[in-house]
Amino acid sequence: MKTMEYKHLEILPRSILGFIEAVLRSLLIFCIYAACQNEARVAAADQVITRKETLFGKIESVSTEAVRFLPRGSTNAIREIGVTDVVMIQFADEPKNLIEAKKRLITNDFDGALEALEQVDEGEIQRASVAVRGEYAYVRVVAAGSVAMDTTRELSSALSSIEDVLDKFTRSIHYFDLLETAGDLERALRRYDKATAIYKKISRGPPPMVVRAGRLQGNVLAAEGRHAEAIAEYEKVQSTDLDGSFIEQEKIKACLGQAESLIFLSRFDEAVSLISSMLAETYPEGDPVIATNILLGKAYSLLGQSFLELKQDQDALIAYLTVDLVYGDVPDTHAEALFRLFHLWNKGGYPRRSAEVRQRLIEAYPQSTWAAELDPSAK
Amino acid sequence: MEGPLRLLCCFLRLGLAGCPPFVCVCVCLLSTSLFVGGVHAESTLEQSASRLIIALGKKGYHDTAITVLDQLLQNDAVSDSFREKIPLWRANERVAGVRETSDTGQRQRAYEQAVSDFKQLLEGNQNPSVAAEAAFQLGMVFRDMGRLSRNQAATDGKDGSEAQQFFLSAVHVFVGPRSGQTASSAIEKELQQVEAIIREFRGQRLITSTDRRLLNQLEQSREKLRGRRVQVQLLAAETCSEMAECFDQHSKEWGRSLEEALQRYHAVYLSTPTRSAGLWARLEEGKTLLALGRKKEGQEVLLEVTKLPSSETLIYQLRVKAVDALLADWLNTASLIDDQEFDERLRQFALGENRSSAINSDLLAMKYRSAELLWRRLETSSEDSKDARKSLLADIRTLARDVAKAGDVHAASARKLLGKLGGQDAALAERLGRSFAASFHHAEKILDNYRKNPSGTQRSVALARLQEVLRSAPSQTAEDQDLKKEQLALLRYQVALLFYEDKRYHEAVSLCDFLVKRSLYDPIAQKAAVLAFASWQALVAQQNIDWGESATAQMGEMASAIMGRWPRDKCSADAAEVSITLALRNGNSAAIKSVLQSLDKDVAGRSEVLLRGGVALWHLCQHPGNGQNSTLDELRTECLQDARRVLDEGLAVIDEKKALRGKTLEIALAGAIARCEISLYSGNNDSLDLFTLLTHAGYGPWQVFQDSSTEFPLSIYEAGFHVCIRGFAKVQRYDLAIQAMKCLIANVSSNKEAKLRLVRTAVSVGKKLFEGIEERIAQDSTISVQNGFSEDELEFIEQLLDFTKAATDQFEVLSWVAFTSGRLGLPGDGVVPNIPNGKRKSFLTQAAVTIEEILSHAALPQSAKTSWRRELVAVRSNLGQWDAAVEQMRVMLADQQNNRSPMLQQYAADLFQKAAQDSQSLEQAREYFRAAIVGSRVRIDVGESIVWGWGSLASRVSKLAFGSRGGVADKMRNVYFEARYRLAACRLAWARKEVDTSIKTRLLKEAEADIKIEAQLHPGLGSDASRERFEILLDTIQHESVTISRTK
Repeated sequence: MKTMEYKHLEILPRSILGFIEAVLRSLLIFCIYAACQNEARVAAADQVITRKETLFGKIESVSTEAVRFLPRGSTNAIREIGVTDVVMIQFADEPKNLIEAKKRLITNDFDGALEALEQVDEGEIQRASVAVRGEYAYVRVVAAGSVAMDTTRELSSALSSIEDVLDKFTRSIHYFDLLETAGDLERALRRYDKATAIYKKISRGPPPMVVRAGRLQGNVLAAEGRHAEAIAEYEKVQSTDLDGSFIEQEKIKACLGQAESLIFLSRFDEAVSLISSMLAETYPEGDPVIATNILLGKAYSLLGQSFLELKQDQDALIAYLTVDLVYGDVPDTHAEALFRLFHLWNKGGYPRRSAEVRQRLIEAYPQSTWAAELDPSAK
Repeated sequence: MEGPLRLLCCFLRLGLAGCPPFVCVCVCLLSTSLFVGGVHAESTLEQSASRLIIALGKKGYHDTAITVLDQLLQNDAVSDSFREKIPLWRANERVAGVRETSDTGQRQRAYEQAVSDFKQLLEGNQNPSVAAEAAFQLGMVFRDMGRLSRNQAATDGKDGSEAQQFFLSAVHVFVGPRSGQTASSAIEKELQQVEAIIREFRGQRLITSTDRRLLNQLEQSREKLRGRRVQVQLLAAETCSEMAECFDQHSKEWGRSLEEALQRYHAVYLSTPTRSAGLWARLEEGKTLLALGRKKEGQEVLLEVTKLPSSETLIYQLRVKAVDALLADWLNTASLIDDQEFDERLRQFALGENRSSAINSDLLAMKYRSAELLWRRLETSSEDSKDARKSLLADIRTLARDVAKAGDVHAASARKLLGKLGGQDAALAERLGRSFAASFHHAEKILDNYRKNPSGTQRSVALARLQEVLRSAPSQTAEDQDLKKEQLALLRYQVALLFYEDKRYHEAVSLCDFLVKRSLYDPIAQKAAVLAFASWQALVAQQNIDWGESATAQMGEMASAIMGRWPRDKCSADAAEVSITLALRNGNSAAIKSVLQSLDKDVAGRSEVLLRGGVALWHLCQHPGNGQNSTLDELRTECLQDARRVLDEGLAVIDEKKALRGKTLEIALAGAIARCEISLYSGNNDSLDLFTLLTHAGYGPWQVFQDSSTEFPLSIYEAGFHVCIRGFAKVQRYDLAIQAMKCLIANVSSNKEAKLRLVRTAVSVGKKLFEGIEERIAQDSTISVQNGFSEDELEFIEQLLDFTKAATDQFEVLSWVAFTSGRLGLPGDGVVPNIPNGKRKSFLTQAAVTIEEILSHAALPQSAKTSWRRELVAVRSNLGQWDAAVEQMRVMLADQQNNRSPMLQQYAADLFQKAAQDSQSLEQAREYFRAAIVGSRVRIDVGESIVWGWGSLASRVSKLAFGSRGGVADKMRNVYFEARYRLAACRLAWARKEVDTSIKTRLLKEAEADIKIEAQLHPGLGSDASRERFEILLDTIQHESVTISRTK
């Protein structure tokens, strides 16, 4: 009789082992298949990016005030995410260039956003869902509107494009953003009444939007030269009881608006005091870094401007250095800071440092008016 | 080890090779990132400031970083936890700011301050991350100090014991042994804390997104701390290695240091054998083994390093270094067998493409040494092995060309090697030699030669050659244009220096001016500014009428420029001092104030500048220039206040931890003297503790003159002792005042003017003493012992009188001596109720002698003679020297004007009466009594001396006394009745003195008759008080008469 020999680690006879192996192999194949399916499902998920997290799942519906979202893996727990918490939404069937354009829009790279949109296939957009078409339209008109405001060209056509989009996509989550851009364009066209009317529509939104509308109204008043009234509006915004990072950002923006108005009214020491108080608050960790950097760059720039007027050159130097070395994300703010630093370094007797910032200004921002001041040959 | 720490280790070594900024930058990066790992929320201001400071450090703007930190310290919005990091950052920035300066004094000061700051932080701070960082930085500073000391010792030819101590301190601070915190223990502590917090987080069942973010930060911190732990070990090893350079090669200490370094490197390698720090340590291990002569072991280790797979830049660099070290060792041996390990693999590695981002000196060194070794092989190879030789030549050519083109330190040697190859290679070498780098190197040689032999001829040669180099520079090539510009600026500065040494000051100024305004290289611009300043100073000293004024103005402008641009550097203090001297010479106190105001509070040498300024201001208070009216009180008060404030500030900021020496001591002393002078001048309006300042251990004039063996200029010496005399007198330390006087007398005995100045001080002090007493009496009108002079004061005054009398025969001084001695000797003065009789007599004698000198002094005005004689009469009579007193009286009354004076005659009659009463001889007494009663006429040398006597006095004044009403009549009436009273009293006194009874009786009768007649003539007898006197006298006379009649 043949003795069955078992190796040290074998605990089952070969025949049984073979069966198990087959089962295991099938299971493995099944698992791989299932994983692939899941991966496909993952790749096809909608995304909602909020200030705190990124959610994957399915966007059930969208309104002007909220996104109703079914997170992945959940069956019936629909989450409602308020418009003020949403940083970006992304549909599963969006073209990647559109997604790229939206990312650039968030970082205020409006020219970059338009460039990315040019890569999007028009036909693909026409075939896409209403939601995706709405996204495309939103990015296009907001980017174009922002470029128009920067260059002060084609403001009217940008405005009418936005109005078209607002008419067509009435339930867009970007409704309030579109209204804001429209109002800003009206303001740029000096049609302050119309701007006010548009901002009033924003104030019919949820409570945080009311705060935003208040700030925007302050902007209108400031643009009209009614700085004292603008300051009152900004103060109202800053004294609101609501909280959350959206409100914090609005408060910062209102604070900066108020500081600008104070500077216009030559109340430089109050501007310094206001901005300093704002800077003494806890650093806004939760917000997108770029958004915070843009605001803080502006804050330090205004601080520098005030210090210059108060003839406190050293404090101005430090403020502008902060813009240059820490918060130089916005080109125009950065360029101005470099220009001011050139003069401050010269005044302080640092020709080498002065020459270095001049060089950087001319190389980095050759088209800016600040560079032209220092390098007339570039005009 | 990943990320920043790996980078840090890499940069550390680059730091040793000459890229210090990166060391500091990364240390700062690491230090700040450690703080970011903390779990508390920072404000926007704090976050922004942290990032700004890192960025400023990265750019090398350390001075601005310090300014930001100073501002944050003053900002109330900054939290306590942030605030406690500021001293650490500040100290870091200060050290980083001086690491590149060539001013060793400045570096030394900054390091010493940093050591003190870090030690304070270590002792005070319980925050482990701050403690860890402070310990780490303290170790780095000790290392820097060790290097500085070692370099200085090498220059001065001294031993390296000081440097060794610093290095040892660095090792102890890094890893122990040490009684306080070490970096290693602090890091461990912090690591344990972080790990404990991480464990707590991990123990939670639910983690929020905020917690997750914090956890990420903590994990990053943990990684960084682990890396820092290894880094500290590595630094300790490197420090031991550096310490060996302090000793003679192959000495015991040298070997010991290297052995310790070896052990530490090996330990690091074993702890992290696959990470960058471990590999680095392995490389160093190999090099140390070679240095210790353990060639085989060292080469094995280094060859192991050369075999590392170089997928990363850092590993590639390690391999390059290892190959370079091996080549250096092989080239040191004569035998070709020793370098057999330089095989095809290594040869191809040396020839291979550069894997790092920039050509670095290690790579070039490796290439050059490879070329040298291959050349050696070529020289010893057989002519027959053509292929091998061809291959060798090709490789040598490639390597030498790479190095020659790079223009690095080996470029010249590589060019020489190419020259040996001949042909095109030699031509290339020649072309490359014409690069700017070669010219600059040539210029450096020229300067070296000149410095070895700085004669006038050599200087002219050097100037000519340097100017030639500068002329041809623009057309020459250079790899690094920025470096070329910097080197050109340096050459221009050297030319300016040569102009200065050649006394061609205008040319020096022109060139320096150009450099100051145009040069982008701060150190060169600074040197140029200082040289320009010195040149203008030299031109001012020439006192040329054509450009003297302009040169002075230029000096002022340059000083302002230096102080504005380099406010904290030593040159700023020097410029300020020179400006102050100039302003003092021009009598311009506003300029001095302006200089002092623009002085930075952190400038090195601030106290000296302040003290100079204060002394100058005080001088101008006393001797105002620029047409200022010295009597204008407002200006004077303001000037005084400024001088006082500046001197107080200057004395307060003197570093008392360091012993003052040389010029610093002199300035501090001058400042202290000036401050004491101001205090003495201001009197009670100054709150200075004069005694404390005079006896201050560091710079008090009294203490300094006692202790110091330093020779001071006579002006300071004299002024110091003067102030000691006056000051000690003011605080009633007369013993010290006397000592000070004696010291000064001993030193100025041969100097007439100095002696006179001391006399003036003595007189002034003496007068002040009397004023003080009089003030006391005025406040408390009782004449008592408490209000009078104390024994010490008397002794002091005596010394003053003795000295001044002996020192000079000036009339004013003699007058003071006579007057003062008289006051002290004569009774009836409130200041002298308690003087012993012996002393009084002594003062009176001195007064008498002095008055006699005065009476024969040429400067004595005629009109003053009578007063002085009268004084002398009073003195002589108080001494009981009646004859002499009478003689003087007679001289006075020989003058017609005098002898018609009723007051003088009254005085005379009184004198004669007292003289008679005190006379030992009856005959003499009778004569004096007679004169007192009836007068006398005596012919003496100067004329007829007429004494009226009491009787005649009364009759001569009676007409005036009773003729009219008024002031004079009242006075004369008093004189009249006094004379009548004294007439009777005098007779009574005579009667008492007389021995003859008949004369006695007669006199008494006459006296009685005097009174009765008078009573009849003028029943009122003047006044009620006067009548009472007469009545008492009459009683006495009658009683005396009765007594005499009874004894008959």
